[in-house]
Amino acid sequence: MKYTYFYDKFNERDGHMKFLETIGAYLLFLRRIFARPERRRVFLREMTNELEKLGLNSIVLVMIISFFIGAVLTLQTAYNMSNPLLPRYLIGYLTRETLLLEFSSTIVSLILAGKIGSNIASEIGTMRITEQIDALEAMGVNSVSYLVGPKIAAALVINPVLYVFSVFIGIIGGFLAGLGAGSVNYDDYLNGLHFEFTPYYVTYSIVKTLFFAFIFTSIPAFYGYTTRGGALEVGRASTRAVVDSSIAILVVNLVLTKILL
Amino acid sequence: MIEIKGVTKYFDAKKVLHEVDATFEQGKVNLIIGKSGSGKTVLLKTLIGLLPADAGTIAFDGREITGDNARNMKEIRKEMGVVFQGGALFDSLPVLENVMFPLDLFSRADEAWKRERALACLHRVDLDNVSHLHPAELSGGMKKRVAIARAIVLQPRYLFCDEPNSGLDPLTAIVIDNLLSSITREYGMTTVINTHDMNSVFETGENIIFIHDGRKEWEGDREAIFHAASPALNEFLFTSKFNRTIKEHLS
Repeated sequence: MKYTYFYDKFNERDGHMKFLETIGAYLLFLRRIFARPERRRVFLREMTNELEKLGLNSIVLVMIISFFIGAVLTLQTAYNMSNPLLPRYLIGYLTRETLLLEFSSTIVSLILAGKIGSNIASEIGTMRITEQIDALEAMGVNSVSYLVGPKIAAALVINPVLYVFSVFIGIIGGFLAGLGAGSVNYDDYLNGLHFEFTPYYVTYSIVKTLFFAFIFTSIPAFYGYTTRGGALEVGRASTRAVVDSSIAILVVNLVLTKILL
Repeated sequence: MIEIKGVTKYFDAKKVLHEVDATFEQGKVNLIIGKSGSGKTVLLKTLIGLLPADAGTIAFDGREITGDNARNMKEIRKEMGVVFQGGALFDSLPVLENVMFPLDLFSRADEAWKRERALACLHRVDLDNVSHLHPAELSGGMKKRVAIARAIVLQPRYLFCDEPNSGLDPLTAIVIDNLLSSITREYGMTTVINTHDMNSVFETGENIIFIHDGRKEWEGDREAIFHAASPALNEFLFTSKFNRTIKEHLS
């Protein structure tokens, strides 16, 4: 409970708090996440629930978005390649590179920051204002580790899987759209997919998805956990969680790109 | 028995508890009463370790939890049951799993025993057919009873309740009062209840502490309270015409 001071301070100023103080409170919060779980069995049970809640429930959304973005990418690339000197296989190549490097890792994570982030912030925020977190603490449970740890672990497992799904579905979307619109034929598209393939890009993107998964679970959890007041504050925490985790994803994306590429 | 001496609490510069001394006796229902904002919830949260005391000592059967002895709290928490104002049941879990929750975390017994124990606690609070329901499907009184079942599932030595009757009709409130009294005797617990429900005071108050503006203003039992000299306590208790009439009648 020695961190209460920071949490209280954070809420008192409500938006006017200094940036560094927020970071400090967030880091203290993270320290509690990494405490040893009370029971490994309980942790694994919660993590399995979170895998379903955060991951499986997002697969359909990721598939739909990836399919249509893949399709649009192919059509736009084809539209901008009217020059007959440019080989047609570049359409498949550019679709693959865009999905592999940016869309399926960063943009999908941004979408998940909205879907999963608001869900986490409102769930934990509601638990805070209805004293469920106090009940956990009163039982001697490290509430941060119990509530947030399984969510982060589940997101770290599921986000790379969603990334792989997204790349494949995006490529299929691009292929069907390109073929349907007559912009590219089967052989050109397939050649483009194979053209100068760099396996390291997959590694780079998977590393990014791990960082992003940590961001879009831990930041909303922090905002939810530090909620004080009522339903209005839960709504505010949810909004702030989505905005801040999205910004954090973009900043970390820039830093990781500079470091890893 | 829980003894507190000179317990003081600040929120920033504001002093909300002023050197409170009190003894909460084992096997008795100990009530903390006072107006809204008087500091009774802060005192209760300080007792259960959710808020650290800024000064003073708190000892559970001689085991201090304040200052350098804060590590004792970890063990004491396992001997403690808490019933929060709204029940604080976990929304995502059905009733049975809510009651089994402390067992899952702290008991190494097998699943069948835990289930049996949780069902026995639900039976003890007269809730035999709700184990499959979720908290959202329960009435206010049922939620409180499930919260009591969860609080006693580990057979605690100390039971804390924050306004267990708030939002309940008078009949259900009496059911909860009687339940808490009988469980206290049955388990030989030290029970501390935070309330401003006058029926509870007159029904169950074996040891009553009146908090006024963060200070302990009065201490006694439900018989003595009718003859208390404290103006603040008299104003608090006998503002309603009904309570004044009772007092005049008894006098």
